[in-house]
Amino acid sequence: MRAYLIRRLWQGAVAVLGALVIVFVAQRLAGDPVALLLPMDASEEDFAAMREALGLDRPLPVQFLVFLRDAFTGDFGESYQWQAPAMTLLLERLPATLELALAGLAFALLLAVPLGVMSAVYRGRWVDRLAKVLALLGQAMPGFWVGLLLILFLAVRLQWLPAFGREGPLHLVLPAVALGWYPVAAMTRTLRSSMLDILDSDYIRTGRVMGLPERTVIWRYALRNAAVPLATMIGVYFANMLGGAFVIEVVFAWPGVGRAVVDAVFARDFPVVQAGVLLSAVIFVVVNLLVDLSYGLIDPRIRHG
Amino acid sequence: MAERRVPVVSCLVLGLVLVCAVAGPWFAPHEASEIALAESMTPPFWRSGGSLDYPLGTDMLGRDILSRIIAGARVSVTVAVYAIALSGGIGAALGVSAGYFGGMVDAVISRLIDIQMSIPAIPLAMLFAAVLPPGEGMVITIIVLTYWTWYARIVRGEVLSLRERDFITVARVAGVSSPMILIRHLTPNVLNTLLVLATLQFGSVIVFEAGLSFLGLGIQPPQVSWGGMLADGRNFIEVAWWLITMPGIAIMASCLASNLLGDWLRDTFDPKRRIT
Repeated sequence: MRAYLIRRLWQGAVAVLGALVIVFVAQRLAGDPVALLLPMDASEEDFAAMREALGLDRPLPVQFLVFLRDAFTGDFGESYQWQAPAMTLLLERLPATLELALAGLAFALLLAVPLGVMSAVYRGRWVDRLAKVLALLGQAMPGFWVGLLLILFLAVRLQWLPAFGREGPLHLVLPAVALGWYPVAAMTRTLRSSMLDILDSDYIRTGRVMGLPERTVIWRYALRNAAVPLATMIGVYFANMLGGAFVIEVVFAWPGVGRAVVDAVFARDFPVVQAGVLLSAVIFVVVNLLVDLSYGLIDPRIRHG
Repeated sequence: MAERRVPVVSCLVLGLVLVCAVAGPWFAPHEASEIALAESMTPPFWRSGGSLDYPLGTDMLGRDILSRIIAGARVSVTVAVYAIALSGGIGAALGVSAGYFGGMVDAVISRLIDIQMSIPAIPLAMLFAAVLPPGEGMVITIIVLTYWTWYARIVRGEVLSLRERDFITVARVAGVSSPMILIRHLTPNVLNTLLVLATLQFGSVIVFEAGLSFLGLGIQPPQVSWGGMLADGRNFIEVAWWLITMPGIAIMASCLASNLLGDWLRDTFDPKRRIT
């Protein structure tokens, strides 16, 4: 377990470093930042002075090390649009994005768990077919379009739910559904197939022979074990939802990290874009690491494996 | 089994999308960017006020929705074809090399895959959208950067197991050179997998491109794209429902068709997966 832990930590560190390299290279590709900062009629001397002040006259490897040092302290420079440190701006918006992603995950599980269990129990019947159709639609209907349809039907037509902004729990419903829509398909299928395996196993048969109510057998004994593969997917989907939230936040005018980054792309506000990419990468790596480490907690067999 | 039938509907839908992409301008009822302000916000023909001149209605500038969807197919298909060819080619080449040569080559490629996969796709797309000039080229680049790992990982796994098979060992013992083994013996064996992945990727690329264009970071007007149409329609969601439903249906239908066809191909090539 210890060796495994060290290897995973190392892999996570390499991944974050890789993300840093990509961000650094992208920054160089973006063109000369000096040209953006100086007025059009600036002289050659002004350019040279600015370059020196920003450290751009130094060799690339040195620049990269400086970039790394700043990155580790969370310093990605000031946002051009908002005149505030880029990372601070994003961290202020992070709670809104986390809230949305958690709500999306909750919605996905709320739909996928009963659907997965029922479609295994009633294999080949209408519930199973419904789950299959939902799975196909889930993959083919992009979340942002689902979001638009939800706004059209539930907010504009029926006026049941608010569509834009973040003012209360009701505002969370539509964006959460749009964001949670996509993983439902994969989650349902994973749970269905592990459920089918387990319903076939000896201990379930024993439970039935002992006369336990079918409901207890399925929801207490079978689901507990069948949920292991699903549980291992949850972290990955949560991490992906943080990325998916970028688009959903724009659809619903949700004041999160994603919307700030999309705005920053339009404004060519590079520090904010960089900070956003790194923030997502770090969260993604950390969440996946935690998931891997929690396998042992969820399934004791792995601890000894 | 009923599911073993050729997915006729999927093939028809994909065929229609391809025909629109290739020959759209010849049969589209209107020019995609033809503005007719007098006709703006005409509903689809089955609603009162609609007409068969504009079967799926018009947008705020009176442009014909059907013609624009047909024009959008060309962009979607162009992006998809380039993106699939490039990400499939690069991914497969790296995957085959990693699987066949092992050692350092495998270590480097596998680390690259790990790094790429540990950066969520959409934020990474934002980074490149901020750097590259917008348009088809940018969309294709972003998709290739996102999807090559998909091919590389799966092909690597396949080659790892193929490498141990007798026919490869025999070829090696018989003195066939490494490049020859790669090209003549390994690649043909992963072609089925590549075809399945490419078919499945088609749908995924269409959704990805639509997402970028919807955000305004992908295909730029005056070029027509389904995602861009949704973004335009979003501002008129309260008055013209057809602006956001029709392009979405085009996206959904193409994606659904390519997923179904991909699943069918996979099951056909790999009978073991038919069970469950």
